[in-house]
Amino acid sequence: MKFHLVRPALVLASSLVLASCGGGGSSETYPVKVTVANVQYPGLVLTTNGQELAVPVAAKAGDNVVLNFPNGLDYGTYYNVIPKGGTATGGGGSQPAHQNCVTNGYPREYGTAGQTASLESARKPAIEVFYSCSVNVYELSGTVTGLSSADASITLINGSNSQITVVGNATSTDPIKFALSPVAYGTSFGVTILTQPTGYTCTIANNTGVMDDALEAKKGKLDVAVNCTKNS
Amino acid sequence: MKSSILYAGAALACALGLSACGGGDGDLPLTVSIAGGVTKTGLTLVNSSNGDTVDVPAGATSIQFPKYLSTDDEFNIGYKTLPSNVEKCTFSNNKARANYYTVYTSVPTVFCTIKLHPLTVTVKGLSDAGLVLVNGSDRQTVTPNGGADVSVKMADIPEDGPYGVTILSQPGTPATATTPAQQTQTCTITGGSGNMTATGPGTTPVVTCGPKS
Repeated sequence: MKFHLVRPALVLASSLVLASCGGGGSSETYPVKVTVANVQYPGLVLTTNGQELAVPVAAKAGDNVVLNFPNGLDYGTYYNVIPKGGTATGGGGSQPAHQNCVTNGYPREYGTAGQTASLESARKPAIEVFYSCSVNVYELSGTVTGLSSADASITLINGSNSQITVVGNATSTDPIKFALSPVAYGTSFGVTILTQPTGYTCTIANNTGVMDDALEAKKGKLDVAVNCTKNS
Repeated sequence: MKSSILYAGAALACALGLSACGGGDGDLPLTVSIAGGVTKTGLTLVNSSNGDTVDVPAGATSIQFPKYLSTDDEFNIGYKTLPSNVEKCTFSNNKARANYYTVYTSVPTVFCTIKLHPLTVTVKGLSDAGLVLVNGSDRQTVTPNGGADVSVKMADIPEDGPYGVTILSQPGTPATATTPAQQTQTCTITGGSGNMTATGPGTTPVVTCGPKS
């Protein structure tokens, strides 16, 4: 008889305990905390659960931007923090000008509120999401004309940044296309001839500039022109 | 009868002894990952625990010591010689006892840094502000010194690496929203491109400025 009373009491007590520690109160939510590295230009908007979060430029270059979505999420709510109109791993959508931001991959940018403990504190559990931004790079390319011998080659460099050797073409007079390593927005470039081809003299034009808005609109500096003539 | 048993026992003990002390006939390959900075020959790595050495070819991303190790053999990898253009090499995971984890998972790694040398451009005849020189992504604005020669220090260049200095903008006032750029002088560059050698730039970059042409 006594045991019959004890057992329901225990069950009741344990369920009360569960309720009290389970965050069942309506005021307890999980803040969605976002850390974004290398934000150099404005424009990044992250979204989750119908909320939008505009991420400003870091106050000091190199600093991370850390901020929370306006509202926290209830326990068990699925979240997926992505750039507005873009994807987590590919970026796109509402990105900073001249930049693309993608998830760091881990901790995951998606999950269920309360599923994983916060790194920061067990007392103030937050959903933590990390994004990193990189400055967009654009093509640096052009053509070599007049290099009509397969035995002749010209080496072009963009300062100390990248180098390419272009071999002549004896069977076609079409301009020979080349591309150096892409150049980041806002970065200068200057293509020069490191070694002249044997038997030819080459000059270079349209070879110096800064990857600015005008070039960004054209997807890069695409018209570096190298013109070679056979030595007489 | 007895002696043949003893003989067999001795042989067994011998074999056990050999495998325990790792006479270099184990089956764990000792591989070193080359994380960068090896652009020419000259790097010789040594495992000072067994004296094994290996030469690293230019541009290699990984290299394996000739001798295999047995489980629990110590290894301690360092360098015997460095390539002529290398400042120093640093190692990680290079000292341990060999086992599956230490040779396959936490692969020993070496990273070398190339020697850097200064690149200076001499600018002659510059009277006006606005001249900007670039070596690729390295951008330097030149401040005139009343027409006297100006030495412009560009970012340091790795030994054996190329450089190519060009003129990004000529002296004068840059364009604004309402006015186009006003060029006041014309500068040209000679010897702007070359390779950095152990003793300095292979060319002498000189910018000569004169009246606007």
